Amino acid sequence: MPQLEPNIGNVAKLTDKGYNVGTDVNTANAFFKEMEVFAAKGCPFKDLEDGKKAKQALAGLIARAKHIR
Amino acid sequence: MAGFTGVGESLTKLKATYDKVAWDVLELPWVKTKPSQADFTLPKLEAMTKAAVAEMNGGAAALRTQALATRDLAKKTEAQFKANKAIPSSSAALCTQIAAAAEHLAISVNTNSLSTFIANDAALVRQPYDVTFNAVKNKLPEFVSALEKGLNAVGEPTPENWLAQNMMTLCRNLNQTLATWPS
Repeated sequence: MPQLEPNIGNVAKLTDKGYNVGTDVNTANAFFKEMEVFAAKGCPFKDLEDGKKAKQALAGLIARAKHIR
Repeated sequence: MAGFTGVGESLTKLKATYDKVAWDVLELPWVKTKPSQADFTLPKLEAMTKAAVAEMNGGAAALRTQALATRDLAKKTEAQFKANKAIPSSSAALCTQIAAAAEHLAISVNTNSLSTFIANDAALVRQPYDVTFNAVKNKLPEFVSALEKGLNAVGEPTPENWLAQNMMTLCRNLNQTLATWPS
């Protein structure tokens, strides 16, 4: 993955600089936090039932991520 | 004697036209003085670029017109001098040099040359920010696609299947591309 410049390497600042990253900062921030549930643990659920919910939730996040460009 | 040629006056006018060009606008100010990260924005850069283009079509265009007029007059005088054996060849040679220099100046400030310089200057200024933007723009779809494939490969979402597809890493790749948003 390319190195992001530490002081400008985020969507909020790019947006502030006038770049169109395909999403507004609040939406992107919310997405980031929801995705963090899946990014922070090897497996965020313990059984199959919860796994189904997690899979569905992640599929929803993926669908949302496709609108970010 | 050849009499009045008008070349000297034309050169004086050319110098005056040259001095009227806003060179500090034509060359984007942020090329000489790199903007701080706090100062830089695309709209500001676009405003500078528009001002440079306006000067290209204003002061620089006037300079080009005058340079071409000086060239034409120098060439005409050169021909007159060559036809008059009383005039030393060095005078005609001087007119040749003046015509060549004026033409060179006219070419250097034509819209093709200057618009390329202006575009290159703007690209140079925004390049560090474009690197970050392109990292987001180009990497994000790759990571989304990888994550989608991973999720499909999970099949029945047991913890074992989830771990086997490295779902955490795939999710983390995507979030890291979006990077350090303020929480």
